Amino acid sequence: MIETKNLSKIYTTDGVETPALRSVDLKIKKGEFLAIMGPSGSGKSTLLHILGFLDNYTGGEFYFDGKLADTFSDDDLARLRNEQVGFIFQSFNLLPRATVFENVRLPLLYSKIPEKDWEVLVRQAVESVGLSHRIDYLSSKLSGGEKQRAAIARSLVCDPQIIFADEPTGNLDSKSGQVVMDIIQKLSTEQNRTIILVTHETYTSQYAERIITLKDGKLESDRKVANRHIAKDGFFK
Amino acid sequence: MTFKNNLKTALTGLRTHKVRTILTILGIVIGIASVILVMSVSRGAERLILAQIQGLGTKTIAVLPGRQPTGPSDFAQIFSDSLTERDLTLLQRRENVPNLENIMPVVFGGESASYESETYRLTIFGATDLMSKIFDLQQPAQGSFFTEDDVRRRAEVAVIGSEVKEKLFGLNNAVGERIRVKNRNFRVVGVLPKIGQKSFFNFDQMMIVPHSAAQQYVFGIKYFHRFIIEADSEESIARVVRDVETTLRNSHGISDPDKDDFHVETTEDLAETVGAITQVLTVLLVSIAAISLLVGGVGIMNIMLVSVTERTREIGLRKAVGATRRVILKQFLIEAIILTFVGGILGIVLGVSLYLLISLAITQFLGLRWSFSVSVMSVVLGLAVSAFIGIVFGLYPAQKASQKSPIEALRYE
Repeated sequence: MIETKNLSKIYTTDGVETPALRSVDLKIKKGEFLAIMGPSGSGKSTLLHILGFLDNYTGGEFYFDGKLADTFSDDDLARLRNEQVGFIFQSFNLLPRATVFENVRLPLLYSKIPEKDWEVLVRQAVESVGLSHRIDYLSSKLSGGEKQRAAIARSLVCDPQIIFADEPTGNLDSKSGQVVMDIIQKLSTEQNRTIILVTHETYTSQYAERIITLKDGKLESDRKVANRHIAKDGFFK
Repeated sequence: MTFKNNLKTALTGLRTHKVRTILTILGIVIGIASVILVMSVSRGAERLILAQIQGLGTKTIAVLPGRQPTGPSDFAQIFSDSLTERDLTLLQRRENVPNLENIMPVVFGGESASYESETYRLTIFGATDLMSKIFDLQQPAQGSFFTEDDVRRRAEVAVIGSEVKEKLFGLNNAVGERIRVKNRNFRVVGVLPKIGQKSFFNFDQMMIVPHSAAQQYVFGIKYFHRFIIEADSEESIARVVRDVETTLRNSHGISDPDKDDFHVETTEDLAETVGAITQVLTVLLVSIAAISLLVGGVGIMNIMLVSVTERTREIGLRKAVGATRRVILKQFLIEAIILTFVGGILGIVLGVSLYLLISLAITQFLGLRWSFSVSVMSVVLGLAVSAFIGIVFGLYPAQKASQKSPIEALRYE
C-alpha cells in the first residue's frame, strides 16, 4: 500500500542544505503495524510526515496505493489526509479553546460525510477511546493522557485506513503512555488498520510487528518483533 | 464544507478569541467614527460659512478701505480712513456708476450700552434705512426701522437686536425707551426678532443706528468702514466693480491700481476666499481623520499579526485533518468580513451619534443654523479603508500560512 524508492528529503535554510532522508526504500503492507525507530535527528519524523502527506519530499518516489504521490493535487492531498489518514502527534495539537467534542468533530467539517451523521460518529470515536465522560470538557482542561486519547478519537473519526503516530507517548507518563499504546495497538489488531508509529522508546516499539531503524536519514535495519507486547483487554471499557 | 459550516467555524473562531475580536472591532469603530465625525463637521462648517456669505445676496459688493490684504498678517491698511462722504456722493451719481442700484455706507464697532442699571457690550452698527433690504432682515417685531429722514437728521434712534432687548430691558417694553451710549441717548424705535448669525454679523447683539449719528456721536469719525453696494443685476457686477474702482481712483488721485487705498469684494470673491480657507481646514481635518484611521488600521494589523503564530498552528492542524487552502481562506475571509461589517456598523452609529450631539451643541449653544447632514463620502471612505485593512491583514497571514505544508505550519513559532 505504501512504497518508497530512493526517497530523500533535503531541508534548505538560508541556502544551507541539510539532508534529512537519504535514499530510503520501504514497503509497507496494508494492515501492518510498523514502528520507526532511531535517535533524534535520524529523520524518522520526517519520513512519517512525508508518508502521511503532511510534508513534501525532495527526491525519489513515493507510491500510495500504487499511485505516485507527485501526481496528487493540493485538493487530492487534502482529501487523502481527510479520508485515508489519521494523525496522532506528540504534542496532541488539539484546539485548546474547543471541547473534546469539537476537536474530534474537526475532520468531519472537511469531509463528505453528511452532517446528520457527525454526532454519532464523534460519540462513537470518543467512546472507543474511553473519553465519553469528558466529551464536553475544554481540551485544555484534560490531563495529558486524556488529551492524547482525544487526539486518537479525532484521528479515527473519518475511519481512515492508516494511522500515523508521531511519538504519541513522548509527552506522557508511563501509565498514560501504556493506555494510549494499548488503544493504538487495538486499532491494528481489532480494526485491522495500518499503523505507522515513530518512537525512540524500545518499550513502545515492542507493540509493533515490525521495526525499522533510521540513522542519519538512512535505513539501517528492518526486522520483525519477536516478543510483542499485547494489550491487556478492556482497560477502559 | 458548506458555507453554513464555514460561517459557523468563523463565528466560533471569533467567539473563542474574544479579546482579539473586540480589539479588532474597536480599531475599526474608532477609524470609521472619526472619519465620519471629522468630515461631516468640516463639511457642515463649510456650508455654514457659505450660507453666511450667500446671505449677503449675489448682487452685493463691498468696498473696504485699504488695499487688498496680501496675507493673513497684512493689517496695515485695514483701518484706513480712505472712504469719505465725498466718495459716497460720487458713487451715487448715475454717470459714474450707472448700474448701481443701492449704496449703503457703514460704520461699526463695539461699545458699552446702558439702560437704567443694566449695562451690555454690543455692536453699534451705523447704516441707513436700506439695511433691512440689503441684509434681507425680517421686519422689527416691535416698532419699525428708522427712516431716510432719520439718517439725514442724524437722529439718535436705534433698532436693537433681540438679545440686546433681553439684556437691557428684560420682559419690559423697549420701544420709546432710551439707551445710553457714550453719554448720548438713543431712542429705541424698533426691536428685531431673533435672527442669529447672518453674513458674519450677530444681529441679536446689535444696535443699528443711522450712520450719520454713529459717526458723529459714537465713533467721532468722518469716514466710513465700508460701502455696501447692490448692482442692478448679477450680470452687471463686473461693470459696477470697474466703475466703482475708476470713480474712487479719480476721487483719490490714484493712477497706479497697485497703490489703491481701497478694495472691492464681491460675494463671489468672498465665497472663493472662504472656500479656499475651508478647503485647507477640510484637508487638515481629513488628515487628522486619516491618521486616526491609520492608527485604527495599525491596531487591527497589530492584533492580526500578533495572533499569526497561534493561527498558523491552527491552519496547520486544519490542513492536517483535511482542509483545503480554499476552505481555510474562506474561513478567514468570512471572519474578516464579519469583523469589518460589525465594526463598520458600530463605527457609523458612533460617528453619526457623536456628530448629532455636536450639531445639537452648536445649534443650542452657539445659536447657529447648522444643517445636520452626514457626509456619505466619509462613510464610504471609512468603510472602504477599514474593510481593506481588515481583509488584507486578516487574510494575508492566513494566505501565507495556508501555503506552508501542514507540518511546517504546525511547527511554526
